Amino acid sequence: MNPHIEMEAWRLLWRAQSDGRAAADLRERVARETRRKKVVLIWPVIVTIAIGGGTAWRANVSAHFEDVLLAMETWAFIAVIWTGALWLERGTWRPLGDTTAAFVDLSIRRCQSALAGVRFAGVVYVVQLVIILLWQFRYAPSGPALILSSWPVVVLGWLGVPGFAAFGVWFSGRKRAELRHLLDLRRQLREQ
Amino acid sequence: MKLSTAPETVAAGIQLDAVSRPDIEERFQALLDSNGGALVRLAASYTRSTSDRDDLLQEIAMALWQALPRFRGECSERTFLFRIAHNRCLAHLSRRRPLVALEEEEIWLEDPRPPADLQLSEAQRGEQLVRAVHRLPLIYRQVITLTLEGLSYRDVAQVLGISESNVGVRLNRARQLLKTFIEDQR
Repeated sequence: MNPHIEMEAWRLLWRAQSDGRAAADLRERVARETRRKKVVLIWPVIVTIAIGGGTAWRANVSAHFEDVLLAMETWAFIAVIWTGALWLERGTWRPLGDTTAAFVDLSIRRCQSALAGVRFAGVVYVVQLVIILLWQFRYAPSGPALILSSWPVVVLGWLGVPGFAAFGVWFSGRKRAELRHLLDLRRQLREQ
Repeated sequence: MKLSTAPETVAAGIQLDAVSRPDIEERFQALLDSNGGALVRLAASYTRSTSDRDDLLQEIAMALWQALPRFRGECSERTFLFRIAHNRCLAHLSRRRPLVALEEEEIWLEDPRPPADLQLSEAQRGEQLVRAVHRLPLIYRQVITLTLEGLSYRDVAQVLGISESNVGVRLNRARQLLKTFIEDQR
């Protein structure tokens, strides 16, 4: 068959295959998703203000040395997290999405950034946990048994560490698989 | 030509939303109205279930919503839309399963082989075509789905960021494979 006639016949068949209802409520779904993403974006700012502001306010009111020290440690911690997060996000915010290959490269960078983010978050979490433990041993007026059963240690240590580790393993596995697929796709594109 | 087609920072989207939101909303809705069917077909050719397809459609629409404020008319809005859609399809595929496996996979679960002596209805031939498109390797699937939607070589080249001659080469190979895959089902 003539290629043009064949293609035209396929085109007619192809265009007859459509469920137009599937695209009917897309605008509403996008509006909902946009609202959700705005909340997700605002959340870290709220947490920063609440925790950082809370410790700063307490240090200001009490003027005790340990409260001032706690506020300084908290703000240093916040600064490290924000700096690290922004550093890891570099190069992934403005995609050069002109071509499929450029988009794949960007997606690869995003995956690598996410994997580095997991490692960074793990280190930060452990460091913060150690600081909390040292703080408790230094300033809490109780023995080791009471300290190890205090609510910050229970929440961040006994519950938080296994939970965080499980999430990290799951998330890293997912991102590694995605990265493998993307690298494979890039190889396929370059072979052409 | 520089175009941003992926959903970048939400912050940027929010900022731009505030500047020209009514105009963007109008263009967004017009693009969805005039290309809804094409987007559904495109999403369906990269997914294996209706729910997956609908998720991908939402991702495409979301990416379009975020990228539309940065569209500066370097190509047609339709080309812009398809570029975004194809990039989202790639991202979707990379999260789901190995891309190499797509060459061999059979997408639909129902028996793809109607009796050979039966005169095929148009619907059946359409289903055969869709199944065959699903079996195409990614680079051929990209060009064939865009061509079936009526895009010219030039438009396909712009969407994928390849030369027009490369589009011709890929399309020729895609057509041959498609024919083979359709015949396999008979």
